[in-house]
Amino acid sequence: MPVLPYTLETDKGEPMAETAAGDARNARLADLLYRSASGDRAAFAALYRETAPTLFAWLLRLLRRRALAEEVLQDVFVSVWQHAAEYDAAKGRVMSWLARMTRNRALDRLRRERRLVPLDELAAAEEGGEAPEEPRSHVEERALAECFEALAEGPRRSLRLAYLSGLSHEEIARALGAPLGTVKSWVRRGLASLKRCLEGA
Amino acid sequence: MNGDHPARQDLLAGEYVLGLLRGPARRRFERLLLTDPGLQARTRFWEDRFATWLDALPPVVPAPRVWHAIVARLGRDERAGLGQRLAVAAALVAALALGFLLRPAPAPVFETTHVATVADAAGQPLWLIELDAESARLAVRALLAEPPPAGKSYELWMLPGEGRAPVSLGLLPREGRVVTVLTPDRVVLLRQATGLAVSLEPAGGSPTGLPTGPVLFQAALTAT
Repeated sequence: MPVLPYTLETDKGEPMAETAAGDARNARLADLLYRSASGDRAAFAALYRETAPTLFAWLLRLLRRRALAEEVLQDVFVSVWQHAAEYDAAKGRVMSWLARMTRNRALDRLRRERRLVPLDELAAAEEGGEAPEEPRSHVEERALAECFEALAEGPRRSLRLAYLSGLSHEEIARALGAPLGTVKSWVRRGLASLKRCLEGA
Repeated sequence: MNGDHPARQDLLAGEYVLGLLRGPARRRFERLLLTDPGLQARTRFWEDRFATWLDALPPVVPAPRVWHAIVARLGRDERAGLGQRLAVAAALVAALALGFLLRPAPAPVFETTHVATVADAAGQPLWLIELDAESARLAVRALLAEPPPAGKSYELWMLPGEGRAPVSLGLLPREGRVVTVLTPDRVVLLRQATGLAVSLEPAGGSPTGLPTGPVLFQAALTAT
């Protein structure tokens, strides 16, 4: 089991409501981000300690080279420091905001770097990487997991390979041995079904 | 790009969040996103959902050098005026008090061979200490250090081990980055040192050449 570099603070032993846990974490991260915006380096360091391990794990999957992942993580957090004042709590969660910056920078780098890992290995890793379902911490996550499980195999694997491993339509097609047109339609159908399911949930 | 149809907007937003819009398509989408509140809401919807997948990834703690590099870049980007003058003043005090040579702007690139982070009990990094053993330079950068109490200074020591007395490495700056040049014998000692320590001393440094105040922090110096 990976060891978390921090402990989540909860009220003394009282189990939190599912949404409250996610919201409390988001409120705490938003507070750290606001304080960073006013030049509070201790808050910025705390934000880094809490969020960098997750973003770094993602970057390692997206970029597959540690040195590259470290470089992009650096760029992301320098940018977070400079643009912290632009975060607007009304416009989504802190993790979503950080994820957008991370993803866009990683994709920019991917365009310039050649992939070093054969794609069929990646697809195999993706298969093996399906962790058993852990207890979910908040409703959004559980809803996504339930709706996601309801998808057919093609759309399900395509969406995961795109989001978590940064594969393009063409790369997903190669990884799954499916025609490009099929993959494009899997993605479209997958997103449409998820949207319907999530809104109905 | 037919951005008006809701289902089409949902699809585009979803593909953007999945990272499937590349190159010009992504730029076009981001331009629309700036001014279209509906598209912003659809994008947020997917971002908040898919970001939950990230929580399921086993976290990987990045190497300390990543944080050091980030902090170094923050300093470079924002601290040019007062902080730098204070740092130079602090370095001068350190140089005068302890007899070190100070080079104002070293021409060769600083190649870090050893690094130490002085942190407080809560793990907050206070100072970053880098040694370039080749050029015998020691760089000290203030991170989250609080100013010392009035009439006091923070002094940096190396602990040579084997029962030998601590050797002063100078005063720690309150802000900015200070580079000092060490004598060759100090570099040899430092490379073998068992650790670094910070003590609270009268302003200007210990009058005796040995720590006189409490040792507040300790840190290990590791080869990079």
